[in-house]
Amino acid sequence: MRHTRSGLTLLEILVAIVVLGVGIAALVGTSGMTSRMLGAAKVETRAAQAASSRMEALRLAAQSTSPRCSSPAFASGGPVLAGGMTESWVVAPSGKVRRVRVIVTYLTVKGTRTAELETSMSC
Amino acid sequence: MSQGRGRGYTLVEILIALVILLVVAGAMHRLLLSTQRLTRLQARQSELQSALRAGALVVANELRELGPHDLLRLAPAAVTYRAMRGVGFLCQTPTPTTLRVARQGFTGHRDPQAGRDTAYVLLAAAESTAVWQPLAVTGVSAGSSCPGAVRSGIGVTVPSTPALLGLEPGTPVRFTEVMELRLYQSDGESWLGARSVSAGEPVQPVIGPLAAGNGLALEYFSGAAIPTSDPSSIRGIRVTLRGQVDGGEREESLTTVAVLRNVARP
Repeated sequence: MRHTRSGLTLLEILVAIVVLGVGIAALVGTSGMTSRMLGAAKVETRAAQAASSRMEALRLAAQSTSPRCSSPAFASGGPVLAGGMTESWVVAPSGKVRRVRVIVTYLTVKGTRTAELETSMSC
Repeated sequence: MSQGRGRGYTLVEILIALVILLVVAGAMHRLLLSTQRLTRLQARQSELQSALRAGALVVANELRELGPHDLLRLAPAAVTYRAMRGVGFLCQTPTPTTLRVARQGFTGHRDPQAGRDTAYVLLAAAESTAVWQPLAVTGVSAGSSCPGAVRSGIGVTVPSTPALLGLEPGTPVRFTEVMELRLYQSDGESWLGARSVSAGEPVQPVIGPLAAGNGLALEYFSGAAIPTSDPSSIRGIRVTLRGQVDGGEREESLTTVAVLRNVARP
């Protein structure tokens, strides 16, 4: 009886080590997760900016001609690969107000993601 | 035998335990320190990312409202422009010194401000011969009243201008302020700064700190997306914001494009 109470058993120590290990792993895992999220945020922002820049380019093409919207550049296009992202855009073929949609597809560790932007442009 | 060993630890056992404890504690200390450093770095990086996003939004939104005639001075890291602050319509025939703008239908960031804004009143309505008369705003009374059903209005005092006589209610008025956006240094750090040129203000920090030297880059391009420095042919501006964390350990940049919306129809 006395003999068994004299110290910690191997099992107790193992359990303590496992608990400590889980704690430290969680701590280290947080940094890793934050790193991944920061990276993901960067890519998402890039995709959103790419979509917005494409939209602006289409707007520029639309207002570059007289009458408006007659530029061949103001039409559906893509896919264009730029900076690891695929951009494609759809422009309504006719009308006084044209619907314009830009789709940016990019690859993440969790698979393919898309960023979409839609607006109307007056012609 | 069992009694003798169960009572305590020997010196050797304690020493070994101490050494192991020290090694483990040392490793944990280093791990925690590096985690702390990394966490701080990540927090700064996240702050920088959101600052760049906000900056790109602010700069692009401010520039989009302009036309080529609103670009007054252009530089690779600075731009002076006539910023749109509000648009409204006259609610009664003006006197040579007073304009009354209907509150209903007035849109903009804020009300006109005396000593800061310039009112542009449309004198000739035909689009091809549009003449906008610039008038310095010398006084504003926000609580003015308009005649008829449209009650509330904004009274704007301007220097005496006979050309205002005879303008009809419904005449559009634009309020603008000359602004400058630039990269500027303060306390050894670079910031995106803005200042009202027409109010003679000093530069105020908007976003930062940004990378020194190339924290803000402005590229002006024409309708054919070719770089140009001729203000009248500028149709768009590419804005790049760059920032650094911990002396260049992490770098972030964001590029956005603003195509000028206030371009006369060709």
